Amino acid sequence: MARAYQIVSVGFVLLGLFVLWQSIQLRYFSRLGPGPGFFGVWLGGLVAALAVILLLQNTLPRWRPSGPLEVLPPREARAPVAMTVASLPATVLLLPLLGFRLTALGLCLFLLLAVGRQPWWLSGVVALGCSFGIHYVFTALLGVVLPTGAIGI
Amino acid sequence: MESFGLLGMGLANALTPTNLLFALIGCTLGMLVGVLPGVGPTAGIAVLIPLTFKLDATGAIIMLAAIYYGAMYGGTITSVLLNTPGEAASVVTTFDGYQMARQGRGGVALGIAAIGSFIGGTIATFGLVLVAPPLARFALSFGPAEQFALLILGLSTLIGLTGRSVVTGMIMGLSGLMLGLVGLDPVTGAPRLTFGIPDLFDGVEFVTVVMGLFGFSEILINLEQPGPQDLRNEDLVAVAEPRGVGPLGRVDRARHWARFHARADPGHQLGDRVVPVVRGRAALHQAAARDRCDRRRGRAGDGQQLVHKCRADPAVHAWAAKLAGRSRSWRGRSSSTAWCRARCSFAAEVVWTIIASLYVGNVMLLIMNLPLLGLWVSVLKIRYPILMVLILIFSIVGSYSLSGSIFDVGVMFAFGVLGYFFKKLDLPMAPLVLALVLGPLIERALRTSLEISARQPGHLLHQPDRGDVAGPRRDRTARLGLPDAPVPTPGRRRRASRSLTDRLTACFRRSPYLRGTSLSRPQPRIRGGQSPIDPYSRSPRRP
Repeated sequence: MARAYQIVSVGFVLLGLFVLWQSIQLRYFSRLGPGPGFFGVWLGGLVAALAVILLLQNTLPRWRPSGPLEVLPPREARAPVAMTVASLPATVLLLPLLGFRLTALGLCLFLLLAVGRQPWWLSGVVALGCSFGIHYVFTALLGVVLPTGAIGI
Repeated sequence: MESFGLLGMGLANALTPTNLLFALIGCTLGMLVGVLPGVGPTAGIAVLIPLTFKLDATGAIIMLAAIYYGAMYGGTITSVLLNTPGEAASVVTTFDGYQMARQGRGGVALGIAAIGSFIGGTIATFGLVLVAPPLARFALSFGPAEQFALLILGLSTLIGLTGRSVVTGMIMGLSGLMLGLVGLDPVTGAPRLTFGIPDLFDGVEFVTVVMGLFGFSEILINLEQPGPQDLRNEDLVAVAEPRGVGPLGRVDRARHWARFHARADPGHQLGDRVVPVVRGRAALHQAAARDRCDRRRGRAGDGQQLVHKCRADPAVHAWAAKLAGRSRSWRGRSSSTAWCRARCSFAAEVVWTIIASLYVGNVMLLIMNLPLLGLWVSVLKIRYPILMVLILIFSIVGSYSLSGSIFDVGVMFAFGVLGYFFKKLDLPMAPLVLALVLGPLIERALRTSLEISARQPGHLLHQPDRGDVAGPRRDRTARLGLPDAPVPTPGRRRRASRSLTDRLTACFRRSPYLRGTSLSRPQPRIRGGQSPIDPYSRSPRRP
């Protein structure tokens, strides 16, 4: 448990220092008053300082928390979680190429068949509804523009 | 009495067929969201925001409010039938409701909850009507320093109430403030933390972050649990009760009067709608020993969801744009006083219509819940993979349609994965989200306050003694028991006596870009020491 929080603390220290470094490059004070770097300097410094406190809390034996903490998914759930997470960058990459309808169709079919292990006919119906059906509702009825792919759909 | 007159006007607006339809759709969707496993009110509203894109401001907020309280009530159904509260406020319902359902009196329990919710909603709405106007008058006297103090108070209160430690809460809150820094600086226009990406110039969209942190992360959390839909079908308690006919049997009527009071607690109802769900959260911690509550704890009610959704809703922004557009035309043809009056009138109409719609929605929920109970129970049988796909597609549509950028979809996914780990590590996400909303406001209030005070941070502590921002404050200082500010030194008094516009004018004249122009040259002074073109002169000009 403590190891996970130590890693998180180090991450927050780095984040705070990064924001501090970025903000230092901006003006701290101008003739009009506080500049664009004013708030960032204080926030970055505070986050880094608090993260150091958190790191100490999780490192010193006096305050170190005990007990197990499962940060990663359990063994039997790793495959579905990994497949779902992996499908996300693929969706972002395919959206401008294939458009919303085809990308959503592929994503739904993948998630329903591979992750959810649903029957193919049910997966097909739901995927069509979630891609072409939702596209129709949002574009034709609600007037929301959704991405169109290189092939025009 | 004036409030009740305005409430009457709001009721007349809320009862128009269009707004009634929006409330009905919102209640239905909200009930659906509340009943469905794995979708809480926060995630539900975040996912359904795109539905309101094309509506007018009033209709959009009515619909979002209806989704919110529909979802809050929908959680009661799962609490009674499955012993699984959908959000913190429903935890108390499980104590008696599930036991009654196990005895075959699930219908009675749900009837009690529905009627109790209606009574509580009625009291809360009228409480809001009575309390809102004096509170609004009080808030109008706030200057930047007071706003800064109030915003910090709200943020620190939430940090103190959430999470396993104050340090983690503070880190998450400050991280939210840092996230609010992304984009162009509101004063100078300098890009901050944008890394040269044009999509980040407008900052990180609040709705995108919420969809990821609450909606998508919930999918990943639920994927870890084996077959939630099967679990629910096994655990589903029969609604048809052998004793008592209808939602509230005669025998049970007197017995459950006390429970009406518990459910109809106006503090509880008002808390659900206006302020953070402190009581609900306390109840959640009380019930944390229960296995099911523990499983749900990660997405239990985070305060001020409704307020944040309404603030972040593009429909509200559309309302602001609409207001600004109208105001321009009003400015062109009328005096500023008339413009202010018209703007206030329009805003009052919207606000009181929304308040009235809260009550209309309550009645609607009561009407919908009693006869349609069987329908909501059957909704529980939807398979989770189908639900997961629906949530995902709605999240993609919602995040994309905010600014028409696929980059936002990626941001949503990234925050979804982050939210998953935050939930696993028990890091509170509510401070982060609240800080993201309040961040720009806090920064603006702080910077304005420092500008006004000539860079004196002590101004924030002694602001009530100053009279140059928002009227006389010494009385209020005395009333609140605050110490008087120290007597300022002559130099500080001279600096403080210069208004912001004076200092801006001085900076403008000293600017190197204007060197050599007529604007940079001091104007010839005439008798009396006043410049003839000085627009900030306090004494009358002389010819």
